[in-house]
Amino acid sequence: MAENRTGRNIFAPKSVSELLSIKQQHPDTLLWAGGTALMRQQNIHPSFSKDIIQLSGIRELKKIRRTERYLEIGACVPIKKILNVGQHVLPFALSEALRSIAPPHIRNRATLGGNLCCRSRRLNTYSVLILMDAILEIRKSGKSRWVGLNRLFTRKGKDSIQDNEVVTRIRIPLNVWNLQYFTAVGDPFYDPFNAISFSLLMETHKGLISQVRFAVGNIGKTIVRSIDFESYLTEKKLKLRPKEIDNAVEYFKKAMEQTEVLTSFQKERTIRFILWFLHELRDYNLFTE
Amino acid sequence: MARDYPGTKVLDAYIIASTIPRGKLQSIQFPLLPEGYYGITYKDIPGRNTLTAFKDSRPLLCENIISYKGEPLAVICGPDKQTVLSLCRQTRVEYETDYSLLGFNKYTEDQIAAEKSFTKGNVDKILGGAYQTVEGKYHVHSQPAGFSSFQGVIAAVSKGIATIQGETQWPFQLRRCVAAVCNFPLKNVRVKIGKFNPTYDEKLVIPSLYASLAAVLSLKAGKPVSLIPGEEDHAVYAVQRPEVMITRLSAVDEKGKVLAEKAVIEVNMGAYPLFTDELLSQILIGAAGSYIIPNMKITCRGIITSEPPMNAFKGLSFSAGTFSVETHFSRIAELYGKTPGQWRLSFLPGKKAYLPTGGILKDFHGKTLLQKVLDNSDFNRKYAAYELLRKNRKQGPIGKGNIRGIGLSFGFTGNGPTIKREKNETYSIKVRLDRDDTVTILSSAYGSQSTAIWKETAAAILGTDPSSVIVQQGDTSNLPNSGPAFLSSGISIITSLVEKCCIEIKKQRFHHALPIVVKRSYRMPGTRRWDPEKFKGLPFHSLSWGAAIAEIEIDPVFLRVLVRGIWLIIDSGKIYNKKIAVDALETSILETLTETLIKDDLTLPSTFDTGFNVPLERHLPLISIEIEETRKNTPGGISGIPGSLLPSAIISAVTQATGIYFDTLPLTPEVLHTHMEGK
Amino acid sequence: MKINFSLNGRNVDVETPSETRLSDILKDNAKIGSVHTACNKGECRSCTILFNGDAAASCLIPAFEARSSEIVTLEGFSKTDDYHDIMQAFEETGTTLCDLCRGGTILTIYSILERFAEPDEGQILDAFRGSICPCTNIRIIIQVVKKTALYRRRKRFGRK
Ligand SMILES: Cc1cc2nc3c(=O)[nH]c(=O)nc-3n(C[C@H](O)[C@H](O)[C@H](O)COP(=O)(O)OP(=O)(O)OC[C@H]3O[C@@H](n4cnc5c(N)ncnc54)[C@H](O)[C@@H]3O)c2cc1C
Ligand code: FES
Ligand code: FES
Repeated sequence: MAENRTGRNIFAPKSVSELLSIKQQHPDTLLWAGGTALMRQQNIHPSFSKDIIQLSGIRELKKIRRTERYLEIGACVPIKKILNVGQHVLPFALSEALRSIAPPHIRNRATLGGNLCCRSRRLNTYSVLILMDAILEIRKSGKSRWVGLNRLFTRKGKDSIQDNEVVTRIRIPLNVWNLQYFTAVGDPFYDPFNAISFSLLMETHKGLISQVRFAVGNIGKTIVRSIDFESYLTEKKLKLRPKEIDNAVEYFKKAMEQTEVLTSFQKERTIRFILWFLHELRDYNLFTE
Repeated sequence: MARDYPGTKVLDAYIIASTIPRGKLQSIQFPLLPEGYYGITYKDIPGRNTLTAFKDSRPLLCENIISYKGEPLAVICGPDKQTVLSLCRQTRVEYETDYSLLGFNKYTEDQIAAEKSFTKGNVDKILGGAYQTVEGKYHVHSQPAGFSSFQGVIAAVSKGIATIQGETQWPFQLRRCVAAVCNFPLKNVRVKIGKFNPTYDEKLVIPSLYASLAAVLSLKAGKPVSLIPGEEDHAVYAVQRPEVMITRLSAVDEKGKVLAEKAVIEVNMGAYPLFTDELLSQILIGAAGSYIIPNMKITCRGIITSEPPMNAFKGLSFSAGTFSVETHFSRIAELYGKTPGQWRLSFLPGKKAYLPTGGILKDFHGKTLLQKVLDNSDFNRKYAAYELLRKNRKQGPIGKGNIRGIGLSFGFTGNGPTIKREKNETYSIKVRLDRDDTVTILSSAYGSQSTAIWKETAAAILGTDPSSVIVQQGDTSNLPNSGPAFLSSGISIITSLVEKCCIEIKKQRFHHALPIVVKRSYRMPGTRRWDPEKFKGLPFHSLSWGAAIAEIEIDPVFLRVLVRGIWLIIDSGKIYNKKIAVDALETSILETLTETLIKDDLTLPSTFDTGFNVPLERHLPLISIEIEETRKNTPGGISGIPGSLLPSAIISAVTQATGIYFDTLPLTPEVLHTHMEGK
Repeated sequence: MKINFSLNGRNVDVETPSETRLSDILKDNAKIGSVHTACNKGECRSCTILFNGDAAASCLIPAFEARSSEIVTLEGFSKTDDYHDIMQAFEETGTTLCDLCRGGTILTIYSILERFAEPDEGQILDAFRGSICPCTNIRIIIQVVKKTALYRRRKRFGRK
């Protein structure tokens, strides 16, 4: 399978088992899914120092499966294909996160696995899927493990996939979040000081917030989340009092100060977003479900 | 392009550009060039090492002093592109770096490339005893073109004849440059003219630079050479809008009438100013505006800096002048508690009017235009409502719902350059009527997008169908010199020449045997109409007038300005095809919106926020365009009007919505954020 | 690396470094005139091709990914009925596209038509997100897409 003409091996496995045994024998290789993130970060004449494993020929990695409880997406399913699954199956926030990745002719090739595994920064779907408690199947020859997406990268942004491992599936629990929101602005690659995304999931019951999750993403190697903020809001009435809104904002401000990754403009946008959605909660039909 | 040379290998060439912004070039050492590969430095140029545009010039290849990062130093060509690129990378360039860069904010006397000023009455005296003075500082940042659609040139020199292929807005200037560089007589250089979209005016002089270098290489190699822009020479081929800083001081009486106006304009022209004279004149005339102000003093300076050259960018920065005057006057109106519409209606000249430079305006209908656009957009009611909303808003501009504002701007754009052309630099065209009744238009500007208008014009006069009018394709050896295709000359000057030719043909038609050929040329009118030294008279071939209103909304989360509606009314003289005109205006409106509101730190527009032409919102703003044709004769350019008027209408609208004065272009979310924090 | 692909129905063999951009191969080796590279980052769409039937930015596809693929460029596409429908719609609006944009714009329109029988404004704007052409009115593009969709529906189903 391998070719070696220019001093580099390009492996093109046809099955997962073949992929895993190549990865076992050649751990120091670059996995190539759609290649859109990899190529976009190259200069005019791309050059990669490592051998490459092309994933596009592996059918098993391009499957989507749905059960009562979860949606399971192969790591190499192109984003376009996931979007075709349809609104009624795809959680709204995830679908928005996918839809705002580049124009359709890039989404034809870009994959979900590539979006989650991009080393240099956390991209659109990462924060949404963390909030959804997505788990990943990570495999190596003869072994497979499931880990929470939140364990894929450390706080400092280092990935926990070993050299001989590959992400093969992403499993997304289909919880009923009755409020979902995702929005992103700015280019996470070329405008890192302004770019930002907000993901929000909420469960409400009889006018009360029973669960809320919120993350700020597309800001570099980490995302910002505040457990204090989330637990403060839990069990509060949807119609928050002004004082409660102020308190909630203060909790998130603290979290932002601790991480020190946001620019002042990104902080400003975040606070504005929080204020906006907490106000809008009074009239929550505005959120598209 | 390469396919046009069957059987001959076209060599690929790339430029080696300086990697330091300022210093002395010590030496250039090419690696050992394999057979069939050639390299040139300025020493290999047989003729003149200069690129000329109007009265200015710059070196093609650096000889000694490096003036900006990206300045071309040498060029290498050869049969294999990858090898050429690798040879370029192996070339050793030695510099003596000079770390004292020439900046724009604090410049010295020596950096002033040129200065122009316009004085009328006694400004200082009036300012001294003014009832009130109003000061404003307006800043148009330099903005790189979203991209360059320039795709390079191919030069083939053989047996003392040079043939050039490539998109250019100014084929005859390209021919002159190549002739001068190769030391050839003009007639030995032939430029094949292709169809082009001028986009940002990047095809005005850059193709001449590339063609000259490719021609020298082709002369040396004896083969056709294709010189295409490489990533490294971005500073060479990509155009940038010049940075402009305008400070205005007005003396205003108790009614809000401006009695005296003093303005200082500083323009960052980068390392090598081209078109200096014309650019400074254009900004100055734009900044003078269209209101009657008895005392005026405007000074305009072109400053040389260590940045890449900034010259023509969709015209010559006339719009920066208009932006400052219109934003400033909206501010004065607000200070005096008047709506921007009221203020303008009271101070605009009536039917018999003059420009500040003294030129008489026949059939001036400014007030009518203004009134119509105010009515169309329901301006006064909305303005009052948004004022009330802002004043009643207790907390800052955040919280429930988006905040809104509406802004207005009025003015004109000029068609054609103000500068008096050299004798051989007229705009000429020919029109021929053949026996079979086909009409053929011959013009070197046929690549421009105005050809549809020419056809309509000729067909209307000669009573035929536009489909039987042909615009002939060709090259500089068989087409007349129709000047540089920019500053709307294609649509204004050339269209009026087509008109003249056709009227003459119509006269001769049944008296002379066919074919009839008529040639007409345009020269800048003599000093009787425009005196460039004293800055007196009517500066342009013709004027296009317009009024624009922008209604905006600020999204309180991301601080983005979303445009809800644009109302535009224009009077640019005769319009031959309304549909084409409306389409062109709409395009130009959308483009201006994105340029005014995007971030300025990207060389390429981001896919995420907004692309050029495709606004951020997933729907398009409401656009209403009305065309007035009160002046039935001279057709004028239209697509420059949105670029001139909309920025200040938008800025005024944002100012109304937020209650904070904005004075910077482009107006990015970051700018909004900084200003709001400042408050 | 030696690669082989089908280009506009023709078989092509190219010897090239494995990570060369497909756009460069098409321009330099195959002398395809409709492919340009104004950004090399997947943004400008001047390098758009149909890659195994889908519109794609060829600057983001390295040589090794192009092995055994089926590539159609504007040159090949211009022999189809769809091309003529699109061109007819353009002609009716009186708009011309420059060299740089022609391929990307036309193939993007085609890909919209392949996905939606009756595309709406939002779908068209999404497909043209990030388009950098400042000289063609996006409304005209919307008109062209809608018109072409109509021709197609008429041809295929004989209905409006
Ligand atoms: C014009 C343009 C606009 C874009 N806009 C956005 C945007 O708005 N938001 C956004 O989030 N992204 C954006 N992207 C980035 C990118 O295209 C997407 O994130 C895409 O989903 C990446 O997928 P891919 O398959 O192309 O990844 P690749 O480029 O193939 O891979 C990315 C990284 O993931 C690794 N990888 C891939 N698959 C696996 C696997 N199975 N196991 C382990 N590691 C793996 C690769 O080794 C590589 O390091 C944009 C890209 C372009 C070109
Ligand atoms: S060159 Fe490929 S999209 Fe711009
Ligand atoms: S048509 Fe090509 S840049 Fe506009």
